[in-house]
Amino acid sequence: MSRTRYARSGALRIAYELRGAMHRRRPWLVMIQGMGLDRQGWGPVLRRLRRHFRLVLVDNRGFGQSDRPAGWLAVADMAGDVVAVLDAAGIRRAHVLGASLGGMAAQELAIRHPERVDGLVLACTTPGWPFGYPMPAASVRLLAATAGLPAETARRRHTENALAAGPDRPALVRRLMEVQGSRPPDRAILSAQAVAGSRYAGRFLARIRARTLVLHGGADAVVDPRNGRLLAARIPGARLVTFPGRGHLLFWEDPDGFAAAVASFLLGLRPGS
Amino acid sequence: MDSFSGKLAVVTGGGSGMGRELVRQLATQGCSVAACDLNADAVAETAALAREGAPPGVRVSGHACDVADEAQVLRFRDELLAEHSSDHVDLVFSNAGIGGGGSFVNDRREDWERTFAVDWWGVYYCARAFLPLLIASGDGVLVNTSSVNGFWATLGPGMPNTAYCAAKFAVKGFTEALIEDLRTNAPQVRVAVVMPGHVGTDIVANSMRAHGVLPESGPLSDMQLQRRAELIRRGALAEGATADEMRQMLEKMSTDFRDSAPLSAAGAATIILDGVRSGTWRILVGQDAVGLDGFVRAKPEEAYDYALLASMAAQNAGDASRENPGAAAGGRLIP
Repeated sequence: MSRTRYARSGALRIAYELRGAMHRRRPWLVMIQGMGLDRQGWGPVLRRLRRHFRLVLVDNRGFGQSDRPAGWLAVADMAGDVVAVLDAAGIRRAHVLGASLGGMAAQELAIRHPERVDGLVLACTTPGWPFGYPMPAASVRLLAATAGLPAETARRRHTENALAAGPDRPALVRRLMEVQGSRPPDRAILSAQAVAGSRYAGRFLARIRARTLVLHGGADAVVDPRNGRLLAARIPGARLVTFPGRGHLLFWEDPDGFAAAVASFLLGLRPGS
Repeated sequence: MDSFSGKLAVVTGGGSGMGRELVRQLATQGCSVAACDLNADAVAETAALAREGAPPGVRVSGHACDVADEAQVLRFRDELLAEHSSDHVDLVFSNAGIGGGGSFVNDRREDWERTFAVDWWGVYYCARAFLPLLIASGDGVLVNTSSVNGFWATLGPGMPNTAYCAAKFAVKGFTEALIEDLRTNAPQVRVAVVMPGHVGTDIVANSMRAHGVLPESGPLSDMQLQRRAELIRRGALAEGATADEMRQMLEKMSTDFRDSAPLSAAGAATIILDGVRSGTWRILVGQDAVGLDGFVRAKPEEAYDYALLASMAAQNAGDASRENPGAAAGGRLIP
């Protein structure tokens, strides 16, 4: 792992990391993680993406090595943190990939700071209630039910729920539990993220000017897969790729397919790079 | 009522939000106002602001009052009649309201009952106290603030709002029932029910103050220590969070609610006053409220089907999408 750097966003220090920065001809790709994971949560997809991009991996506020806000956050704050990271790293413009809650932050970034966003990839995300399909009731109940459980039990239940059923699931759950266990977040920041996601309402999607790719797992139990179609329909010119049978953490479930979709879309924007 | 000029209006919850803007706009239009609020400093500030913009001869007074306490409402009434040297009032805006007690299952009974008391009993006590004075006006209007939560009883998926909704349904039912009562028994008074959607106000911070949750400066009171422990237990605050962190969190929660609203408090007050002037009894405030009202009336059984509601919201947002939410999920690759 390369060195941890810090950007200042308001009162908070936001940790980030640059990978492959020496490959000056490769475009920058900023990656914004979703709920419950820090920048280590990208897993096997990183290796594949760094062949094509200089990567900027951000620890969302309250996660990994970023400072913890007082217990409340909004998606707009997360987008502001990414701008702070870009400023600190001296990056004027980058491709932006956000997954789940990070995908909301990526939408917000593209709406509020179009000059910073080159290509946009929105993975397993939603424009938020009431502009998108709500979280499936089973997952809403799971969130409520795990509030009183020990943190590790809660993480395991959510991790299982975020992966499609299949023979690979137990192994993936083990690996994801390890990733999350190395720097476990406190419950307050998890619930702040859940609230941020439930309050986000992306009402200005039509203003997004970035070329956009939408990725969604067809068996996503956390974010209703129909939201992928909504996003693609509402963002001018957006493309949609769905991964039948894959769950919410599709970048763990199908890292090859995920990385190939991202790279071919984003690099297709810049022939010769 | 063509004009508010020369009238006397009562506004509850005048310290901030829609109440403050109602006071200011009424005063600008030549209407004297007696405003009350739980927060005496805030309502004094409202009165000062309103006086600045008011034509000569307009009197604006600010009063401390908890509308959930009938004795305080009666005292407010007596104070304002004395201060405005009046024997009647022409308009009453029962606007004061707080949130809290969202979950009947999990939240504290005290919070539930406090919210219900302000939002329902506050409206009721004001109607009791001021109806005779509206009758004495000869051309009185009682304007009760309900909410979209007066006809739609949730804030969305995973966000129950039981105390507030129960009170706001009561306000709407009571106000509508008064239409016939007043028509028969006091035709010189009419009523209007106001149903705002998401408006940019400080209701979140004010509610936390009203429930004793929001710590001002200095050390936490016993009650706030208890609240902090509760917030930590529920996972809303980190283990060992300081008073300052608790304050920061709650304040940010409040400003995010205010700043993400599609309609400002001033815009909402203008809609309310236009409605009262026009003589309508149903005043929906905001495009979100109009859309939700239409949906719930058209498909009452589907009122809590969030997926259908989402498609309605998308259409109201003026979206190009023609996504049919009933359609099956899936689709492989759409180039």
